[in-house]
Amino acid sequence: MSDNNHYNDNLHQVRFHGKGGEYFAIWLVNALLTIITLGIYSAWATVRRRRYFLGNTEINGDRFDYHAKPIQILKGRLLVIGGIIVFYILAAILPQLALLIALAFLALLPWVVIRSWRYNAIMTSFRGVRFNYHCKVGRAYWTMYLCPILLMLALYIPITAVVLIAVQMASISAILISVIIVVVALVPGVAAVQGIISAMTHDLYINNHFFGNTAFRAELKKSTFIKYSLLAIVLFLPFLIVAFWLMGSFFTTMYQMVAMGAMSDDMAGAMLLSNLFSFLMAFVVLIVGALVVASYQVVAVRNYVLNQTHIGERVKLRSSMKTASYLGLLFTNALIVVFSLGLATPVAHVRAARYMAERTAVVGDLSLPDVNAHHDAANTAVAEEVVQAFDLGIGM
Amino acid sequence: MIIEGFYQPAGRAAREAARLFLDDDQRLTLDAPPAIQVFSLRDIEVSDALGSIPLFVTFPDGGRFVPADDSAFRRWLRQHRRPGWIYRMESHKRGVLLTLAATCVLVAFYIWGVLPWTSNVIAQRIPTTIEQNLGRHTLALLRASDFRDSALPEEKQIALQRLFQQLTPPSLRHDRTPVRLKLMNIPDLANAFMLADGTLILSDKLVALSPGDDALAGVMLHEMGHHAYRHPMRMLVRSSLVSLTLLWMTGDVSGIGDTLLQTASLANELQFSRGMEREADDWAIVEMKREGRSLAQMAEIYRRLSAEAQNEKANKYLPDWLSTHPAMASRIEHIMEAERE
Repeated sequence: MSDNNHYNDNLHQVRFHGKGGEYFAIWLVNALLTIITLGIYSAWATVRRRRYFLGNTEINGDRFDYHAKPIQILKGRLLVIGGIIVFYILAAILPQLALLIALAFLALLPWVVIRSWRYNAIMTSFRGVRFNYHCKVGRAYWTMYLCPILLMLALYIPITAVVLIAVQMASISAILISVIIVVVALVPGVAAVQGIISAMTHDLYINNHFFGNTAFRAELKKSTFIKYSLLAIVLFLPFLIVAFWLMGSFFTTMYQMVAMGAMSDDMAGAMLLSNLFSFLMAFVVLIVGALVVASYQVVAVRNYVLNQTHIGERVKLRSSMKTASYLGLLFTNALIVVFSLGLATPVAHVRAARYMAERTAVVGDLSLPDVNAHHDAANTAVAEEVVQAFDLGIGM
Repeated sequence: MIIEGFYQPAGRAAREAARLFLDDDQRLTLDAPPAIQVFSLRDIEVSDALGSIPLFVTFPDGGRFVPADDSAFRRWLRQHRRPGWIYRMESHKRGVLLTLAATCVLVAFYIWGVLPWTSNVIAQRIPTTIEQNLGRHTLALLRASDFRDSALPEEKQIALQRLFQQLTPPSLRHDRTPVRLKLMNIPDLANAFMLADGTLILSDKLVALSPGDDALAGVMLHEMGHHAYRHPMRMLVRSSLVSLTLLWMTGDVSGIGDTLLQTASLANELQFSRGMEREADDWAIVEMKREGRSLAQMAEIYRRLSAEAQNEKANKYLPDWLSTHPAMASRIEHIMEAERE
């Protein structure tokens, strides 16, 4: 009997049943009622939106559900907006105090983030059993603040030291050597810091989640995340080189003209115009490069994290996203939204949800006989609203 | 009617096949081994209809029944309970089209009606301390870039301050934030602008460009007009209102759709500032006429300024609608017209 056998090897494809046209109607009614009620309905709209996406996600014949009470969300939103207005006013009257409040807010962030994860987990259910999230506050601070700061210091202090020593020695060769050392150390260094932080954040997220009373667990190797970060940087290099090459011809001619003393304002303007195209191209190349690298990283990390994730003893997750198809989705969605002047945004949302579902599966025995509900309650949506308001999704 | 489906006991993720008998007199009988239970429609809770998401039943003890045939259950339920009006609006084509039209009208009303009016009302009521703080901050920011104290000779500076004092109409002299003139040396920039606290900044290069006192008077009065209408404050209040509205309506200010909305509001803002320039011009024209000054000189310095802007290379490649000081030609024409009257 192989080790895998207690997973029962049943593959259950995740399905998304939402339809673009149907969601468009819901989205539009949400928008109208939100405007008519001067924004009060937005809390109900939020719940309807989330219910639509979760309720249309099916595994093995059962749907997810979302239970947040609009009133809670409304209260949270009121508090956040009130806080922002008070902050604006303070910032105009007493800038120093505003700075202090901003710092206090920053200090509270990790707590806010884990509270919002908890809120959303408890409001989400599958087969009537709610998810849960438990996390020690200290661990959140370590993962989101303390450890990243220490890692940055560990990376930048030695590099600064090398540069300072080279400057002290004041010889060309010493400076050249230090530049080479810095460049060679910086790429793997940045990749390592990024990879470790990403691994720890995902660990903080996954390994504190529960389905009912059953824990999620995922063994996440830091080395894998470092590898992805390194590959992302390497992947970006060709784009960077092409962009430099495109702008390079302009800079070399410019340099030669200046050297020959033939440079005037009009000349510079004319050259800028004639090179406008290559400048634009360089810009486009960089944007495309950033998009490619970002989707590579999203896909690699999601596949790895989900494939490592087990729920209890008998269920595990599968993800099989591909960089090319994900990139294609992002690109076509952007076109759809732009050319419909934003009106087709709901269609783009549905396409994204369908794509994600199609690339996700659950393996194992979904009779789930030993999963029981927990009795935790989440009563306020303030943290969740803060996270929404300031876009603190922490890239999950 | 018999509906097949799955029953889940309260608090457990496991499920088992079960049956629900539906009577016409609002009675439901649940056959989920080992027990058979009878409920009335009042006791149970049916999930809210939303799109085509299958409905499910929650019993008083927290147990759930999910019908395998959703449409059959829907049909039975509809005979006893009407779905909510929001659901009906979402599921009818005509309702959706009406909603679309109404939404567009309301958005337009907000952008062109509510927003300018509210920002004007709020801007006129901003406390003086806030105006002064804002002005001080902007000035500090400007100094941090390459704005320096004026390099004009002392006599010229005194003369300009005297001209400014003469010009200031009584209404602005008794304003809660009185205007004052600040001469500054800004490399390669012939410009004048008004800060939120009534500080008028005039660049040395603009003074050098001017054909005479009446031209400078025109520029100064134009900027004073901005202050009289509280234009800088209105712009600030307006952009804050836009972001607060987006935040309040959608819960966040990220994502492609919202970026699009912000771009739209930016384009609208530029149009808005075009209107402000015209308003300030009209205000200046009235004051100029009252003082019996020559509007021809005001038109002339505008002409020189726009020629200067043409020389600045970058501006040449900006389309007209992207510029905050567009349509200089039509403004000059407007001033000349006022002169002829």
